[in-house]
Amino acid sequence: MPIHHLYVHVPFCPRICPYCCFCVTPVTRRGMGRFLSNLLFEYRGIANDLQPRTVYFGGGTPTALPTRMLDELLRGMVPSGENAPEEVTVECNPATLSPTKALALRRGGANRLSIGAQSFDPAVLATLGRTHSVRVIDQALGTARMAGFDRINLDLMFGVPGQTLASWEATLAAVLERKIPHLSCYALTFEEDTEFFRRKACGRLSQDPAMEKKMFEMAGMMLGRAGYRNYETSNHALPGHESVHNLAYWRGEDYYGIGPGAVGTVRGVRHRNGPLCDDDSWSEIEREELTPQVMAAERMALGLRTAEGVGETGFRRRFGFLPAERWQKEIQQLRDAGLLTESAEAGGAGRMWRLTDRGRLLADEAAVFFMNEY
Amino acid sequence: MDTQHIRNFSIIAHIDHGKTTLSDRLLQLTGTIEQRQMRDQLLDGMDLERERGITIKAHPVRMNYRSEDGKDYQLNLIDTPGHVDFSYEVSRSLAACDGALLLVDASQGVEAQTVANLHLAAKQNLVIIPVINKIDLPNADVASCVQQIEDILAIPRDEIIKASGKSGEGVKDILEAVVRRLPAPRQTSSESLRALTFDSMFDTFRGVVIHVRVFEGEIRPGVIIRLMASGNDYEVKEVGCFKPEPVKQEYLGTGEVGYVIANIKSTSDIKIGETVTLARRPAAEPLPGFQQVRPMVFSGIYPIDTSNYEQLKACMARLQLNDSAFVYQHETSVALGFGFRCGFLGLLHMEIIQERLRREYQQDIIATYPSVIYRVKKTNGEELEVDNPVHLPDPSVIECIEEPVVRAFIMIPNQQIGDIMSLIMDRRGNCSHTETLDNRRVMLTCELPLNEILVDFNDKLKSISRGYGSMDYEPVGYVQSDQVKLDILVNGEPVDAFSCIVHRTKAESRGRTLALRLREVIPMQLFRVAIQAAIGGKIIARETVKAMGKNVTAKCYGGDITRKRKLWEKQKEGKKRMKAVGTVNIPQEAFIEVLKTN
Repeated sequence: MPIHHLYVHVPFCPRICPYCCFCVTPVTRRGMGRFLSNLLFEYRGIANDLQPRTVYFGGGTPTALPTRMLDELLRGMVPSGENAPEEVTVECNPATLSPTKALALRRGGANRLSIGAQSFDPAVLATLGRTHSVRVIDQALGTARMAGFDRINLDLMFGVPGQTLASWEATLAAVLERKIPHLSCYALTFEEDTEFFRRKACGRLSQDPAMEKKMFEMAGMMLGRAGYRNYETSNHALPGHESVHNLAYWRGEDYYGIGPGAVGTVRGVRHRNGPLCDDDSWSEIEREELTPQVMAAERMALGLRTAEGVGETGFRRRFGFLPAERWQKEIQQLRDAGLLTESAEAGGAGRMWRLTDRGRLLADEAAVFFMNEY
Repeated sequence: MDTQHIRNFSIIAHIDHGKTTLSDRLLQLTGTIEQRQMRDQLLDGMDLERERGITIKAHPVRMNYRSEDGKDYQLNLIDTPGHVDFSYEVSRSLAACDGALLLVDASQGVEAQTVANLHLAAKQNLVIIPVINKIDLPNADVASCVQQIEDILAIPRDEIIKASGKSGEGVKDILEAVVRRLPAPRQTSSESLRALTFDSMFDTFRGVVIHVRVFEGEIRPGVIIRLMASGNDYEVKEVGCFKPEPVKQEYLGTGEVGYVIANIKSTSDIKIGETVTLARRPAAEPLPGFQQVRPMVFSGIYPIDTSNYEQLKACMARLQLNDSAFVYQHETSVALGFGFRCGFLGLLHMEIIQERLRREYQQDIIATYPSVIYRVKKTNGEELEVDNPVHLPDPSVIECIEEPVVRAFIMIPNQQIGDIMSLIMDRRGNCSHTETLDNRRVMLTCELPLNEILVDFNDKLKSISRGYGSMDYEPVGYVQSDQVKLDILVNGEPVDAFSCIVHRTKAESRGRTLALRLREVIPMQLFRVAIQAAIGGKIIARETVKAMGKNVTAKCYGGDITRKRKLWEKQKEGKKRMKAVGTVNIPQEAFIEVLKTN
């Protein structure tokens, strides 16, 4: 069976954000050309094994590429006509989405945009080191819609130092007013090797877990009332707007990942590419053979992040045993602690495992329960 | 060799006064070991010994020495364990000698242990050669050491040898003094055999190796020996001496020191202080001074992972092979599962065993709060000994409780006398005697409950006196005392490993501190954790560990999975190292934290 999901990493950014830990590099036009031909080369190596239902161009900032290159990129990797994938997402930042580029993306088959808006509060944007303003976000939204994108995601960030509950509420109100169909709300994390991590380490930035919890709950409540489903820990969507590509990760499906720093998981092997070298090339630096036990544990940990949870029928079909068999004690403990609930599978004969509201706030704690000695 | 040319001696000293270094120097000077074989602290075989600078097991070493009188002598150096916990072993080692070198550090002066050791040596009627060691140190104060030896130990100054184990200065004088001043072993005409067992160790290939001093007769391979206290007989396979490696000998004659290998399976079959005689012609009387060693301090030792119980059991058995003073028996704790109740000679002994289990045997263990043996009289007249708080009967049936008391000798600088006095008072002790030693130090003699010095008394003493204080103690008996059991409840369940028996006046403050401390070390869990301290069912303190609020990674996409999984796996590992008590995970630190009293 061919692989249905493809992730493509474009590492260029006009500016490196102080909290970003992804594989990123500042823009230089000459490097981009070489990068693009290397990327297309890597793609050709897997094309025969691919029948994409979803393609995701992430980064970095794919829209940092010039229009001509965006054209070439999409033309090369996104099939058209009856083989056209059902979802093609491109990440962009508000400042780099010009009408020309938006149209180029549509032309190339993209049907979903993920915009790194982060906040509608200028103070928060400043803390995050983002150069765009609310006006620029609105311009980008206008551009996207004009080009024909109705599937739009905004990335939003909470738990930013200095951000108040009122500021977060105003940002949520702003996105509701603009009727954005998909929202990713991320708590700011201090990843190692980022400017923020260093600032935190020397005490210049601090975290407030209690505030984060309030903001997390506020997003769930406000967006829920407006008809959004909190279909994964950090993701909220109006019905029909869920990201098919991201759901594939959480459901444990196979995906290819190409480009510097990209990760793919194909038939039990997870491979990881190294960073972009000085000559704009990269290579695979890691291969991990995933045992069925590891995959089963990951399936639980990731599946429980989603609102749909983990159904035991599908789980057994894939792994040959029921979650309640291997993790009987763990499941009981999680239920006793009020983190996990059991319900009947829709239409199926089996049980469905889901996290409770409280469990969703403690998803990482719950995940630990499913880790075994492999 | 005829007894006239044998000298048996040991070196007694306070910890760190350079005993082992001097021993090594003696071995070198007599050519027992060559320069190139020298390794620092040769006699301290165990890593732990070398690291802590203390000698736990005694090794007798034979040296051949040609004296200035032109004659050849056999010198047997019997190294003694240098700590109060092992005072019985020290006394048996000393009993094997005819004299002793008393070592005093030139920069430290006479210490509490120096006095205690001298007393032990005097009890054995040993001839003492006083040696001021480390005279090459820049801060050596030889003159005041001489004064102290004269004043405190009542030894004339003209007998004192000044030496340095490090530089070798004066070491020759020591050897000459050993030959000239120490008496030769007594020559007897007995037909039978009497030899004192002063140590034993276990060799994987050869079984138990006993260390003996022959007082009468001789011992050869092939004879059947009898241990007089146990009455068991064994055939001798080999005899020899240590140089310092074992060297086979034809026989061990009167006055000689060496080793005997017989068919003894375990060190628990041979008690230190046993008299070895011949089965065919047994001696009429054993040598004096044999005692059954009784442990003074008890503590539970449990595997962190209950499935490692059998493994731990095997390690305990192996430890005991080499250390018959260490006793253990199976015990079950509600909180900790299967484990062992262990008895130790004292605090250092306890620490050493626990360290060896952790380091040499790589066991992940939890040790519970140490306890002394309480004597409990019940209202129905029954009397029992309690070494584990769990076994303390209900207060309603207790008539009275007695606790063991020790007499402690504490040597401290003058300036800190006030602080030390209040420490002693705080530990329910009283000072019976204060003696001025010289113009800067005093020696306090005081009585203290043993359980008050179990955990951190010595550390406190050291910190108050900035390291200059030293102490030693001996048991003096039991006194009645108002003791209660303090329980700690975690989410309503008593955790027996946290229970302790304390004096009523201290129970409440200890309960409060303990609850507070546990709150700090027990990490947040999925639910709220209540920590309560209770005395006889009455809650006296309560602390709460809040439930965890939020722990969820914001981004978890294709590229994040492996990294996240590794993090979760690591957390799982961390959890496994915690002890699950009911539904609460208690980290190891909590069990260690309980051991600290304030």
